[in-house]
Amino acid sequence: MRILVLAKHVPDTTEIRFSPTGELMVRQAPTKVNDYDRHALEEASRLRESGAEVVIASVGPPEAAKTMKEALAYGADRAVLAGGAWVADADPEAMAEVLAAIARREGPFDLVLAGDVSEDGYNALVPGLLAAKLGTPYVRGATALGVGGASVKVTRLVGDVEEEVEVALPAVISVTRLLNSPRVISTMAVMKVPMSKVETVDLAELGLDPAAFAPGALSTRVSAVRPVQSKRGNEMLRGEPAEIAAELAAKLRGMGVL
Amino acid sequence: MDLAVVVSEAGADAGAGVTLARKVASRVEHLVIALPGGERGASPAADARYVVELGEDAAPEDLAAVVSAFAESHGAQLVLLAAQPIFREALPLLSVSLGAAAVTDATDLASGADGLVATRMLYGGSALAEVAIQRPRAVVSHAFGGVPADSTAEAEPVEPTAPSGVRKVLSRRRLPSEASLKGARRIVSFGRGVRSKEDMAMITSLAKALDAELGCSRPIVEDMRWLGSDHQVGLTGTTVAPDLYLAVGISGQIQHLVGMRDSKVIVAVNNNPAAPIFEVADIGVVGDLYQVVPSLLEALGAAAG
Ligand SMILES: Cc1cc2nc3c(=O)[nH]c(=O)nc-3n(C[C@H](O)[C@H](O)[C@H](O)COP(=O)(O)OP(=O)(O)OC[C@H]3O[C@@H](n4cnc5c(N)ncnc54)[C@H](O)[C@@H]3O)c2cc1C
Ligand SMILES: Cc1cc2nc3c(=O)[nH]c(=O)nc-3n(C[C@H](O)[C@H](O)[C@H](O)COP(=O)(O)OP(=O)(O)OC[C@H]3O[C@@H](n4cnc5c(N)ncnc54)[C@H](O)[C@@H]3O)c2cc1C
Repeated sequence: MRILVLAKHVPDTTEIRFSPTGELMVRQAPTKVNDYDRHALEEASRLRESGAEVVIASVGPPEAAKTMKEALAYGADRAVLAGGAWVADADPEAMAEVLAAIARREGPFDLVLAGDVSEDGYNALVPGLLAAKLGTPYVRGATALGVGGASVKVTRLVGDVEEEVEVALPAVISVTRLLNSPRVISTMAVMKVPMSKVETVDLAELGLDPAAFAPGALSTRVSAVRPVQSKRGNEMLRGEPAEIAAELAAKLRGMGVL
Repeated sequence: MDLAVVVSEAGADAGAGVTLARKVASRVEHLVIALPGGERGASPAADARYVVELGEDAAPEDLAAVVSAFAESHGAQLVLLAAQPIFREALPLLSVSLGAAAVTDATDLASGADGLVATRMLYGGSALAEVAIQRPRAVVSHAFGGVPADSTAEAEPVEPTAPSGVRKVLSRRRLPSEASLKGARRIVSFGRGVRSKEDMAMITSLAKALDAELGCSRPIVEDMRWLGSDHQVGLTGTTVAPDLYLAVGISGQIQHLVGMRDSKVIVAVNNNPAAPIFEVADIGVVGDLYQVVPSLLEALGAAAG
């Protein structure tokens, strides 16, 4: 069994701030493996323990090489990172196109595991686009997986319906945080991963035409980003719990929300 | 643009989709996905109404195929999908088969100088991005829940495409709903400040005393697993806007805030005066929830008696 895991290098979105002039300060935020992808990596690593080969694929800036070491520490054979100046403007469609090229070059794979969504873009598009490009089935939202023989069984929640579906391999499956509890990766474990396990490739090496990845040639382009302000003129209550509780109850009554 | 097709499940209001599509298209058609012989729903003043019947366990592949064929034969430049779970998997398949640009969870649409522009959230809700569409066609899902629809005009039937047979549904089970946060007037929500599952009883009592629904942050559902996912407020949970949102022991990370920041009155109880939740609160109570909640229960009980 050969498994491809998609792992994205993302900024920690809880650390993203805006400058006083409203500029996004993404660069200063710490980076990491996308939350959901850790669960895909964990699942792949468990399958690797029973003999599967696991390759990680990613598209990202040069700094993502460090994140790939973190991803490899879950237990994978190697990682392929596609990068270049074009990455800064790449949209989900472009990401999927490059990941498909990696899948073809490194393939064939029986199973592609990905996260349901990324923390920064939150498009929830890349795995489905990849499946459509590869012509394989796609199931999202996995809370449990059973890989066997020529098919995979996926348990998931669709609205308020829990269903189990079965699709033939090869297939692309994206997973939720309910799938498993990823192992804790120590800094030491990341340091021990040799950089030689991370292969960096560019568009030409993947047989792709760089012109198709110029900002104007992509399917979408982010033309503006503005901060969302949700600050309220808050009133702080401090002191003896009994007193502030009474004060709060009175205020809420006064506001007519009780 | 000339034509937008709004797609929604029957029974779910399509008002928001049609209103949004009207902003950018001169003609709006509504395609209803209905169960065989089932309810047809209403179209809010669309220019034409179509209905296609698909079985309850119809695969996203089949949904994508029928919508793709419809959009292709009608020559639609925009396919606008409702914010319903069945469309999430179909959307990327649909966009690839139509060679269209794909955008999820749009909060607004506009016609820019160079074509369609969609607005959507970025970075967990801390920012809004304008996404310019650079393809002749786009498949977009919008982020709005039900808006009442008024027209129940006859719908013209559309033939479904042959089932793809890509997936086998082995079992389906409707989970009992634990909470109905959507539309609730009051919500008491708690987070990791509550130390044990037993201590939840205190929060449940507070919710009862306030006649409120019980909400929570993500760790309570996904890490502690104390409550089912229909209690979760936020980016991956439910977006709510009650008259009163009382957040107890919740730090207020952006992914939580994005699900409740439109509430009318926000009250936060937290023992850390620097907790970000206080920035979006109308009233902030700095204190230990293990003291504040019992006191509040008393204060409310006194009022009732
Ligand atoms: C400055 C800036 C400009 C941007 N411009 C655009 C733009 O023009 N148009 C636009 O649509 N978006 C844009 N984005 C968002 C960014 O490009 C998206 O994050 C990216 O295209 C992939 O979408 P997503 O991260 O939402 O993936 P999702 O579809 O939410 O990801 C789901 C899963 O797919 C896999 N995956 C996704 N991306 C990768 C990857 N790169 N490598 C490996 N696995 C991956 C992961 O397993 C992930 O869990 C911009 C972001 C920034 C910071
Ligand atoms: C892609 C993505 C999606 C996400 N989606 C969601 C989502 O939908 N909903 C969501 O909620 N989160 C979501 N999150 C997680 C989010 O980033 C936060 O991690 C989460 O909201 C934190 O939950 P919390 O406030 O309960 O816990 P913590 O951040 O640990 O906060 C606990 C708070 O309790 C306070 N506290 C502790 N003891 C006491 C006491 N005795 N009295 C009073 N206060 C006390 C602390 O000061 C602290 O502020 C998402 C994250 C990502 C990356």
